[in-house]
Amino acid sequence: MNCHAQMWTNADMLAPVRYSYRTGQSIKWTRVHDLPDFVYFNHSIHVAKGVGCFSCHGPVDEMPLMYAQNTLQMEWCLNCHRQPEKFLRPKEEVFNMTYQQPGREHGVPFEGRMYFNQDELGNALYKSYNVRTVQDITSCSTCHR
Amino acid sequence: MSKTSDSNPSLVPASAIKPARPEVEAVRKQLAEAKGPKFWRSLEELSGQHEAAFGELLEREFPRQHSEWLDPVSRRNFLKLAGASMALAGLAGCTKQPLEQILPYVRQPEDLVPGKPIFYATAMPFAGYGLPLLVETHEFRPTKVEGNPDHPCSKGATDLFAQASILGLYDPDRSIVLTYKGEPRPWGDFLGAMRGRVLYHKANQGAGLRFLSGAVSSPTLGSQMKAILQIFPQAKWHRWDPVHRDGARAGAKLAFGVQYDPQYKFEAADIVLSLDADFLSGAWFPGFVRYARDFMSRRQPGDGSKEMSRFYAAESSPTTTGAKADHRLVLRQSEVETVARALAAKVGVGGASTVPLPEAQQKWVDAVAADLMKHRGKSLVVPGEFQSATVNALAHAINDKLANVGQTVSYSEPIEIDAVEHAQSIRELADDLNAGKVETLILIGGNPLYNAPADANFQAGLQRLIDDAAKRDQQGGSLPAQRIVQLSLYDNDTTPFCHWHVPEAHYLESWSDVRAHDGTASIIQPMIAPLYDGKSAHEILAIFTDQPGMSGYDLLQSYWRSQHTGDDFPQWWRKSVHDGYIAGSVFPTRTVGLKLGALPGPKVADIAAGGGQLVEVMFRPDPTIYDGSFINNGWLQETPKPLTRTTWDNIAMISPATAARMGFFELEGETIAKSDLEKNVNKDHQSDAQKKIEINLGGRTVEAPAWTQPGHPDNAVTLFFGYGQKKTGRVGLDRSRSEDRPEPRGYDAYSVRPGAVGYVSAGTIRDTGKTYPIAVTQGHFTMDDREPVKVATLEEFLKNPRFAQVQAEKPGEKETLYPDFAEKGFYKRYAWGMAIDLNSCVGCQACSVACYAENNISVVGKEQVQRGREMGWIRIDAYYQGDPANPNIYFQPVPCMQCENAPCEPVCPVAATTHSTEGLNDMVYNRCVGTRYCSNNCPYKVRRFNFMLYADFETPSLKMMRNPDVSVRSRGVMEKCTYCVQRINAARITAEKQNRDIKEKEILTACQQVCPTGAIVFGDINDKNSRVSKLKYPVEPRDYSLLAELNTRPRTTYIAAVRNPNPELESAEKA
Repeated sequence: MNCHAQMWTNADMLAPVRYSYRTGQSIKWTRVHDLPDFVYFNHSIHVAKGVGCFSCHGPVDEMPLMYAQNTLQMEWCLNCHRQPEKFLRPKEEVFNMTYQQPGREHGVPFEGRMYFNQDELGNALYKSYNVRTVQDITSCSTCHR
Repeated sequence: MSKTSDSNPSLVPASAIKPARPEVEAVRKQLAEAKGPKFWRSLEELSGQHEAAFGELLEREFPRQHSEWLDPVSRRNFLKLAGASMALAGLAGCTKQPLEQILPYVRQPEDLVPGKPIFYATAMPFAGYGLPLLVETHEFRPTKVEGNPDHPCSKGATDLFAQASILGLYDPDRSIVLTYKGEPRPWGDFLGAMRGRVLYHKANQGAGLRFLSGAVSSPTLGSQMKAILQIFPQAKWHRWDPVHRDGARAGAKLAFGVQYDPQYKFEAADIVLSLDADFLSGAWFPGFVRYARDFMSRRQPGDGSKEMSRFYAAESSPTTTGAKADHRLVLRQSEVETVARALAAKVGVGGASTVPLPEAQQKWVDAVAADLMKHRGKSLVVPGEFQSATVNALAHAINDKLANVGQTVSYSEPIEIDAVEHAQSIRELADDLNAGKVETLILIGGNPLYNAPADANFQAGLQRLIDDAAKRDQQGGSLPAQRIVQLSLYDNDTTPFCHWHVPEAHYLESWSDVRAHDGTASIIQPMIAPLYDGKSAHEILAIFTDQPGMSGYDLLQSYWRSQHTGDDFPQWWRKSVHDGYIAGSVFPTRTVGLKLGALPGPKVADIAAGGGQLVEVMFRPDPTIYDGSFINNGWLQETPKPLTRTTWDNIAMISPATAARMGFFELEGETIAKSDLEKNVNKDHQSDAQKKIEINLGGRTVEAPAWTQPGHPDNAVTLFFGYGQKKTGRVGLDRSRSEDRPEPRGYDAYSVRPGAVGYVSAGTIRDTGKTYPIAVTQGHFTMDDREPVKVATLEEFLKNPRFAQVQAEKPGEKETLYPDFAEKGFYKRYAWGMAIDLNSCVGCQACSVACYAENNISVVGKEQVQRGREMGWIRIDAYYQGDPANPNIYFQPVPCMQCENAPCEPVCPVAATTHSTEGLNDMVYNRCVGTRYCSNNCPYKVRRFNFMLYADFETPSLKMMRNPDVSVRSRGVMEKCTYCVQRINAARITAEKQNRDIKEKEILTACQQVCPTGAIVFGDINDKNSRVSKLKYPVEPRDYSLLAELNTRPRTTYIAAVRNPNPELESAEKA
């Protein structure tokens, strides 16, 4: 229940949550971000290497009802695995839903330096976080086994 | 439609395949002419009789793959399944996932991260002893069993039975409901009924109250046993394990006056002699896992610190232990005793009368005795569990005489609580049942109706009790009626003879305790709540100690509270449960004094007296089904039995000479004409159909398929327990002939085993003229005549340590058409490799079963195995060398070699098998379209194809069992070993998150982890300090690649075997 023990304690929308809490029965959630069973995805390594929640899940904070922003199909995954520097962000920014990639007017600080270019930032992050080579992370067994 | 395939002449049902019959003389001749070491896999291959068929087999990747659905049952199944999968295809489409639901925890358990396994310590009770374990659980579902690395009796290794016990837990055929006369009843009813029995027996001091269990080493169960016998002084507790150790127990008593358990120190022994002891493969040999490791630590010729030990085996029925011997003396079981007597006399043990031995045996005895006496205090004689009391006693006496006691063997109090002679105990129970002296019988596990001695009349006894009970039930009155209660994992052959049947909780579902072979006690903690509301033995027995309804946990804790009486009990308890064993509970060494009593003479009739008609009949537990308790375990049924490589059946083993004497090897047989053989297009290198023989033991007969086993003693036959059960689950029954009326699988060796016989007797055998199909894998996935195993003697090795490097053709390193991945920037960070030590491998099959568990490998069934479609990713090839009467035997585990120049990769039209940057040949199941080109191009024959939908996607309990980190493969998909890539990935992610390299031993492949002898080593060959790097050429001179001449540059390489023969004996053998 967490927050909803205090807020919106009588909201109709949350009735299933309260029912579940009372009875101990799980809510049956429909899985929106669902990968096929032959794909093995590990959240923790993506978070540890500076992949933002937003990159895969989209603007979740602005979704009244969850939907899949991205296809999560193999080509889409590979788009990042083939050029991770284009998407990486500092680890502190992983959960930041309003994070913006660096641009000419917008700088992103990392390790005491201000970056105004994603390629430069991405490469610095790539090195600093010891991300594996593109060849490594596009090997089939990275995701399939 | 159904007729089209049947009328195709090239399609013959597997059951119709006729036996191939090599000629012994031709075999001998060919051997005599052969130069250099000649290895063979079966007698058919050796005789060269089927070279044409063998060639055809090589061309055809999977033998008989064209013949798909021949018998009506399979075809019907296929149509059913095809219908189901097509329906699914319509629903799923190919772009959008079907909707899935997730059910999160309402209250998240502490420490649980979904997707991250947690390991808990426990122990598996088996054959009266405990094997300490760590069990991997995913969201509290146990999925994989590993050994407890902190426990000296495991050091992380396990055996095949522990590996397969996961499938036993989730077996959908387990007994699921408590019944009274076959009707479901609540637990409360049972408690009420038992209360009546308890009150009745309290009044009569327990007269007529009987318990039957196997050997007990659980301290809590032992205390309950004691308490019950105090409350009911006239009650009796009987013990029966069909695979009992009566000989060993009586032998120790004979030697010392009281029973002690030997504790061996193989690591301290320079010379080891086995008197029919199967300590290297029989998981039922107490301490097998530890002993195998200790023994192999002394079999490393390159290890300068320790001299390589020498191992002699005087053996009857061939085992993998004998296969590892430097000198194996083939004896009938009774002859082991005469040899033991001669040896004892030779080393100076008094009191052992001897008979003159044949010349060859005498020479052997002389040489072994001399070698033993040269190594006083550093030698070890190990007696077999299935040998007579005399052999056991003599072994203790020889060890005593050679001053080995305290050095290589020590003694402790017996681990078994209140040990009794099982054969006598069950006999007493059966007699009392038949005499009407039993009123309440509580069966704790077991299946006595099936496995009790054939002459005990156990069934009649139970029937009498039931009849008496029915009479009393009808009469009514004040006296409550007699009752039989069964606590059992399965509805088995005994269940119809029991009033009450209580489903037993699996060891992974219940609280208990058990002692390992050295006495160390382990707490057994449950991994999961009982799936079917099963009860443990403790909970049943609590009814008789006035604690009905008390939980197993409370019973266990209250016992240990009485043992550990400190204020720190809660901490002590938590630590003991967490560690998996109770610190300091190992049994202390006892000082023993030899008091060798009068040795009883041989029990077995001299077969020579039978005028050539008699043969010695030896009984052994089945290598994978054991006493029959694993009959419904598909992994154990399908994993080939060591040596014979047979699956799904038990066989009657005979020697090549006996087979020839029976005419099985003559080309012009009576039952199968030569023309039939020629017509049979499916005859292959390893024949499947075996002659059926009838074994007659004192008037009791059983028909069994004969199996000609090189190295088996002549004029003897070995029968294996475990099969022939009439009432068991879907795996244990044979539905090949009728879907609705299943038949028992295999033959029932118990039906001809009287109680007094133990493990050997004299009987007759005769050819029945019938044949019986056996699914044997020895000829499958063969690599032809290419010297896959390399062997040298210690002497040769010391002269030329690089003997294994000799090969016919040596291609240059760059001499290849395959792409150079190193040049492309691969292998930079990690390069995974494996080394398999052929010297250490004992062929125990633990790795094979572990692979089934870890990688969700499907079971295909006997009929499919006959067609060469078994799915096991790691096969253990057995190679023979020398005379079929007593060959040298070598084992070679063959997983995927992960070639750097992989022939499988370029031929895949859809890039479903590709090269990873770390050197794995990745297999992408979802991309595979099933052309099978890869398998065709694989020289090692390590790829497996899902010809049908073998994986069970429907049974709910099996879904819980699967490793969630590995895809479950569907029909039409190729699969193979990937060095447990899921474990590599898990370790890599952990290391990457901590910004460090993967450490040595952080990744253990499933086969490596389970191996008792540490024969398999996996690691990073880029790291020059890793263990695997040190096992590669040139650091390890014995290292060689399989089929190196193909320049596939496999990452898995082998360390050649080295034998350490006694030069005196060897020259005698050659002469």
